[in-house]
Amino acid sequence: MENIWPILLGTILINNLAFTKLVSIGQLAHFGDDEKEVLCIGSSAAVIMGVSTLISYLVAQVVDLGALDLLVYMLVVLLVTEGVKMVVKGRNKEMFESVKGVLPLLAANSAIFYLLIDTTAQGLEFLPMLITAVGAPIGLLFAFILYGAVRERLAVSHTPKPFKGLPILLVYAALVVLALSGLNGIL
Amino acid sequence: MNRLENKPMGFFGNNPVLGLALGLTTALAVTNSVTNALGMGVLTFILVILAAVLGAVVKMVTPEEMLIPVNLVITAFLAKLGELFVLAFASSLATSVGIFLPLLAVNSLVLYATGAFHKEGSFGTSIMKAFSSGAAYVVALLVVAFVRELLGTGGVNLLNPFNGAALFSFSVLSSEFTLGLFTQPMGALLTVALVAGLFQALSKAPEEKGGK
Repeated sequence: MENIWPILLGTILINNLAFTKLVSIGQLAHFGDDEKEVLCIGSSAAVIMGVSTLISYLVAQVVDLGALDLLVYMLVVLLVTEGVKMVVKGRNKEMFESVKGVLPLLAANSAIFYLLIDTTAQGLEFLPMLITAVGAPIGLLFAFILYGAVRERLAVSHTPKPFKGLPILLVYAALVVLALSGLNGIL
Repeated sequence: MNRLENKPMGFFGNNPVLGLALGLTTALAVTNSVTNALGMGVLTFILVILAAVLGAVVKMVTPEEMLIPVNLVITAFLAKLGELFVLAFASSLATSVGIFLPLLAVNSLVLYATGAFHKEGSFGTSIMKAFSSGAAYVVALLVVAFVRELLGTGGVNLLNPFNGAALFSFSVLSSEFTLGLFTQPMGALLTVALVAGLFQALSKAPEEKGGK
């Protein structure tokens, strides 16, 4: 039981996938136009990440996937994404209209896939895997919110012309990574 | 994904990775050495061409709303193909890039090349698009990796990815003056940002992308 907090804190903040492994920056940098959309997309991504990690872990425990592992993971992620799409559509029609272009693409989010491959490759026990499957999605949601807020701020700032768009966001991301690396000593 | 529709890909303006953030994960993670960048770049290039061919064939029988899921399955299949190939013939590359090899399954450049984002378009144009975006991707990867390895380790050491034999190497900075930062994730972001800025400045007509 004493391992829970280090893993949880680590996956949310210190070993946050989006900031330390640099996965899914492409999606963080472009998805969602305002606060609400970013929150909707981010929480959808978090749910997809957690649920598909659990499912694929169980599948990999029961069946020896062999060379079909990537295809099976991809199918799991696609199915969960479809499910989340249905839920968003059912709960909030207006929101669904504005995010339906990017929701299916969350299946191609590399942070989600990274966690799937990583948890099965590490051969984690059930409890650490469960905590990782809770913590990492929260970390991803955190990253989505952070990037969304910065994009809103950058939209009204005077950026040098060559740095407009993606480059200035990457500079910002580099500073975030630097700042979070200051927390390394906690664990 | 309006940003991806009907935009010509170029080396400087609209570079697939530096302007449009396609396949950025791979670009950030494997560019710590020129060898890795070359290996993964060429592998991605081959996968992009294969994806364009397969995607164009599958598009004829797929309903439009299922295009992205179907193309993702194609991408995963190709990534597994590439992974097995690299594991068999270039195991040193496979060990040094690690998990980013199977992660090609969600590389958005390969997904883009399957034609998931441009609904119409003939077989020829999609292959041409894949070819130019793949080539631009390799160039971007090499430039970023060159800068990172030069600043991070003081020189460039190019190995043959198939057997690990040294092909070419030089060293300009002595080890006291190297910046270890550039081999870290933060250096990756910073280098990609600077190179992207440079490429956008070099492009003749800078694209107005705003803050989006």
